[in-house]
Amino acid sequence: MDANTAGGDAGANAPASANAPADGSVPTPATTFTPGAVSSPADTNSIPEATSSGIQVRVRGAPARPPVAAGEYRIAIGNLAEVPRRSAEDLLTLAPGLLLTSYGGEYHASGVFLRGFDAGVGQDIEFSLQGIPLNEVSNAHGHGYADAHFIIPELVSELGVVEGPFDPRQGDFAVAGSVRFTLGFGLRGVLAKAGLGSFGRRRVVALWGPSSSGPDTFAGVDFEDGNGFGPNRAFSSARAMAQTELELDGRTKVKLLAAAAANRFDSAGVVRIDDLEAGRLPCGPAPDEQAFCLYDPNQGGAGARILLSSHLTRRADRTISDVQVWVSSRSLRLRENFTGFLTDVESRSLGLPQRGDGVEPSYHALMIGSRGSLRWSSPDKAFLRDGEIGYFARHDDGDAVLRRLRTTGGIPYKVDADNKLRISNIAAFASARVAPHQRLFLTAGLRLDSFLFSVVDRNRPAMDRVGSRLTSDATDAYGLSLQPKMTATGILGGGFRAVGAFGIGTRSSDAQALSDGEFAPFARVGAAETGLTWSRTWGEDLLTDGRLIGFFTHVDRDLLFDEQAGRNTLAGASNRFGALTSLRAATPRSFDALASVTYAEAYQPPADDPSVAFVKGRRLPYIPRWVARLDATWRRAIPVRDRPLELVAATGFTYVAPRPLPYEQLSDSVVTWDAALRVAAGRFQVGLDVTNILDRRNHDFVFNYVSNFRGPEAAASMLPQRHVALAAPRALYVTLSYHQPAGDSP
Amino acid sequence: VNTRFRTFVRNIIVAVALVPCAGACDAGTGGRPIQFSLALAGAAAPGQPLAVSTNTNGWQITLERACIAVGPIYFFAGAGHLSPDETATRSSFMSRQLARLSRSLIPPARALPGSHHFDGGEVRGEWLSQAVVDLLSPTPLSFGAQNGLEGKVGSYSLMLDPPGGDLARDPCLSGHHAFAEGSARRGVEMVRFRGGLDLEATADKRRAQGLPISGHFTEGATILVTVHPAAWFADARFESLHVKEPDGAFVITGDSQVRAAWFVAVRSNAAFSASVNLTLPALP
Repeated sequence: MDANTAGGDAGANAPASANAPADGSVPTPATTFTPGAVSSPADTNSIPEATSSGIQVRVRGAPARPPVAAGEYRIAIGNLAEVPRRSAEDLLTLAPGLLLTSYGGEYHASGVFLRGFDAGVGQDIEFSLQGIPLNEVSNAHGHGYADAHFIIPELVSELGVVEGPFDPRQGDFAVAGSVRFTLGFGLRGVLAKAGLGSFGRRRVVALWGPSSSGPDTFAGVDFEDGNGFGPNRAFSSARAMAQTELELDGRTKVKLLAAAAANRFDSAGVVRIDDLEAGRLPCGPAPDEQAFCLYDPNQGGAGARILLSSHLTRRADRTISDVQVWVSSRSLRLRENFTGFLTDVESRSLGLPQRGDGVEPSYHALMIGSRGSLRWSSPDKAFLRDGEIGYFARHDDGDAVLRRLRTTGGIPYKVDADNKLRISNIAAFASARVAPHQRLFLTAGLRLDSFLFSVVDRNRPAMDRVGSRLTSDATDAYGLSLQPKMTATGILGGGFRAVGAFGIGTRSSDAQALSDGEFAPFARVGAAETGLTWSRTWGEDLLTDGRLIGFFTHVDRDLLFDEQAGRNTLAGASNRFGALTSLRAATPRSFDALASVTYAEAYQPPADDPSVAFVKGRRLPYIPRWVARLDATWRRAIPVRDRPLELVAATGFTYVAPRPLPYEQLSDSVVTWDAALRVAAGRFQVGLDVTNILDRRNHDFVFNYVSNFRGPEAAASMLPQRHVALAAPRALYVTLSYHQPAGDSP
Repeated sequence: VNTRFRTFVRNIIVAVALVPCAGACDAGTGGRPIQFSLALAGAAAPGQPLAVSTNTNGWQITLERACIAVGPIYFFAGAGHLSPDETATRSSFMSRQLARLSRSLIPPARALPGSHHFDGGEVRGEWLSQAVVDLLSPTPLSFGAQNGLEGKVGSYSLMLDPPGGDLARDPCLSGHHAFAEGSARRGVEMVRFRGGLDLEATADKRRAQGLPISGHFTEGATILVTVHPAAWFADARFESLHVKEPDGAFVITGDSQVRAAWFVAVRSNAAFSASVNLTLPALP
């Protein structure tokens, strides 16, 4: 009994169905899967029909977009939702090679690593939910900050992942790639779930899907709180999401989505590894008391969001057009301290104790936007197979402020940045796919992005050399970025395809780094990959999908973590290369597994020679070189006294090889093993999740830099030291679920 | 095109060759942590016994007691503004002369970031403790292994903070940052003097910054930082002392010229020197 047991799948990464066309597009004839299988991608406009045995999915009309690269995954969550995960963000680890690291608290956006990129808290990955962008431009904590914690995880039906900038629909921040959350709720009726776990974790979820509608219509609320796995880690949140799909006529549908969330959390921040190993942290002497200790109790954050979206889709015989508009209001305030007592030079010059290096980034913005596209396909065997044109428009109006906080009491004492932001991004794209040979498909795309920045810096001095002046400056910058994309797909037979792709992507500039009149307020990335994909159906229902991919990426202006600023800052050019392999095998009813291994290298060429090369300059620290991940579930129905008892077992395993650190150091490896066991009888299900079964003290956050946590008057060590944030220890979480099917009385 | 192609092929080969050792080879991020040993000592003026010197005003000074609280010390990769002319190390005579001429016509500018008065760049090593150095002792104070990073070192900075903890009660300091006692003789004049020096906390008055050092930090290197008490009273006018103690010694008062000269000199380039001596492996 799973919240994500929507119908079938024909996605690119989901195991292909037996009658999938050779070129990788979604099959035109109807495809029917039963519950428990991977779910249907939303952009196929599938029309679900309720049956007595579950959900049928019929796919009809024009074919869906074919994959733009071997590294494009449409990962139907399906049974993999049973693998223990705490949030929708955690679902990202289903994307091969993607690593999450957390250091800022329960609802702080995690650091993301993908294909050799340290994507920070979102700067290098374009995140979206149902087409609504989630990256927050010029967020004071980090440009592109993307927080998916407001999404109720049970409502995510699919992850669309493109690793690399190969899709003309990818926009700002799609440097390492893009991730698209698609919502869906396969069950009809009411699902109520309550959970209780280690460290005081409590959660109550209620989800509803009316019987008269398909998985695209649902509503849900989610309340959660807990004490956290150590001091200063408490959290609490409330989330609500609702979506309805209205059919205006036989060809036109509109989806209305509303979501709201609010949360607050404390954070322990980071600790120096030398203090941890010497037992010098201000907690008890026991190893775990030291391991989960902290320096500054003023750390944490709070955030809120509300968003509304309307998405209209119209299908004709060989065309699909859609228009979407959205509005989103977002507020976020974080409190962090990475360096202790190091940067308060004003106090030091007066002979006073330093006040502390607490930083308080806050961000408040209203985003409005729209996107639309027209996609058409030609009759089979035509030279021009299909094409698409589209647009994207987004405007953000907000404030980004960065203040310094005293360690004692958390009182702000200085403003580092205070910007009023008005940022517009308008883009258009087009692509076409031709078939010069029955086994060769070529796709060419072009995207043109324009960025307009109007920034008012309200933190200027009141005096300059001439005399008194106003404390604000206005800066405007405008630029155009042309991004060609190309894909070549060769059908090799036996389920094998060779796919090569090239693309240019863009990341807009951080408003804090802009100069007036700048004509290129963005960084550009060039990426190429080649890969072999393999899809096959075994027997009646075992579906497999495998990939073997090599990739290379060059970024002209990369952003790297600056601990003193508490955010990522400009750091010159960088190059990356690597390879990955992944395999998904699933049967619709009983088994689903996704495994991947990724290898990546990243180098920073010398500043005077920022050329494109595999290996030049120094290796970029922190980039994981080997990441392996396995998610697997197994489901079986056992008759007990003539009553069906359903057993579900699930496991997730992550391995991250030692990461390179500055000064020829290597971090510790990370090994995490999670498992879950659920038993369903009738309408009830009981589950037990055990995370970090091995109870390893994994270092989630690892960075080397200079800090001084010895005290406000102590001599500061100016040598870089390793800082870590520990991941959660072993934790148990028990759930009780009740499903009231639609139309049935309790 | 052929060159580009060969470069591309070479890159591919390098990349493929790296794959098997990834995770087992070095991190490849550059730099290397090391440990070096540090010692502090007092030193005599050139050609003089340890406690004897002659200053610019003709006073021959004999110190009977001289000590100072020193620390922490930071060693930087970059050269300070007091560093010697690097062109002197050039190999060719013509090259040296041209470089000197160029430097005299267009002296190098040392721009520093923000409000810093000195920025030596990356820190190569540090000693975070504090010690009271008896400058008349012939035995250096040794502090054992300290943490550092391999690489060139071009400058260092000393903190001259008030002695903390037990050091504040060190009898040699008599409750001050530094203390000196001795006699000054000029012709028939003889002044016995005694006094302590305290440095204000404002700005960078408790720091001696950008002092020159030249060398390379490697594993096991030995750094000797020397304090030259002869420099303390190099510009002192002992005839200006007027407050006398019962035993006949003049006190270096806060408003005296001797104190002002000492205050300037104690943080000067002349008051310190440092050298890097590599510990060579023993021959078989």
